[in-house]
Amino acid sequence: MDNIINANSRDTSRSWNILNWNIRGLNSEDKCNAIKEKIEESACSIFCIQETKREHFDHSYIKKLAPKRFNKFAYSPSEGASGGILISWNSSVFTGEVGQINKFALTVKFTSTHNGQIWTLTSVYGPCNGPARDEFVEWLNNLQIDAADN
Amino acid sequence: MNDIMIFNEIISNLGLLEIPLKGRNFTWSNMQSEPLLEQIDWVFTSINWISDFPNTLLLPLATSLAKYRLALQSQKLKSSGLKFFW
Repeated sequence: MDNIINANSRDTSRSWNILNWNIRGLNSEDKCNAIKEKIEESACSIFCIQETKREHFDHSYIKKLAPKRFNKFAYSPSEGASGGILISWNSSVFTGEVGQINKFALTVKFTSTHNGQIWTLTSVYGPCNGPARDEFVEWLNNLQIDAADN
Repeated sequence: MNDIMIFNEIISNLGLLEIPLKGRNFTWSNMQSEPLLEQIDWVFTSINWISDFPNTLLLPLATSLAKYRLALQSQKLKSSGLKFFW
C-alpha cells in the first residue's frame, strides 16, 4: 500500500513528505513507472519501499525508479524472492547516514540541510508466515530504541 | 496471548506512538468482489518526534483511494477487528 507521511515542523513551518509503499516485487517496468508516478504525486523528499524482492541496487537502477533528485539510497537485500527494503532520498533536503541494516529493518539517520534538525527513519518489513515471522517477532521484542532519538 | 496483543505490548514497551492513517481504515485489500480489507501497514513515532513535528499526518494516496472506494462499496462487513499484520 502506498502512504504519505507529511511532517510539518513547528519552528520552521517547512513541511516535507515521505512516501511509503509495500510494492511486493520491483520486478516489472510497470512497477517502476508506478513508483515514479507516486513520487511525483506525493512530492516526497524520501521514499521507502518494502518487499523489493531484489538482492541488489545501484545508481542506474535508482535512476529508472525515481527522478534525478533522488541521488542517495540505502537498501537491505531480499533473501531470494523474499523481503528487501529500499530507502532513497534527495540529498539537497536531507543528508543521510545509514545505520542498522538487517532483513527486517533499514535505518537511516537524517539531518535537515535547512535547519540541521536530526531524526531517524526505520523502514520495517515483517514477514507474514513461516519461521521468518517468528524470527521477526523475536527481533522486534529485543529491539532497543534510544530515548533521545527522534 | 494472541498475536495482536503481543505486537501491541512490544510497541508500547518501546514507547512508540502510532500515527493514525487519515481517511481510510485499511491499507490492504485482497481485491475480490467482496474484498477483505485490513490495515497491515503502520507508522510509529516517538514522543520527541511528536513534540518536534506536532502536525505529522499519514495520508493514503488519492489514486488508490478511488480504486479502494469502489471496492468498499461492495464490501460486506467481513472484518470488524484488526488482524495481525504478518
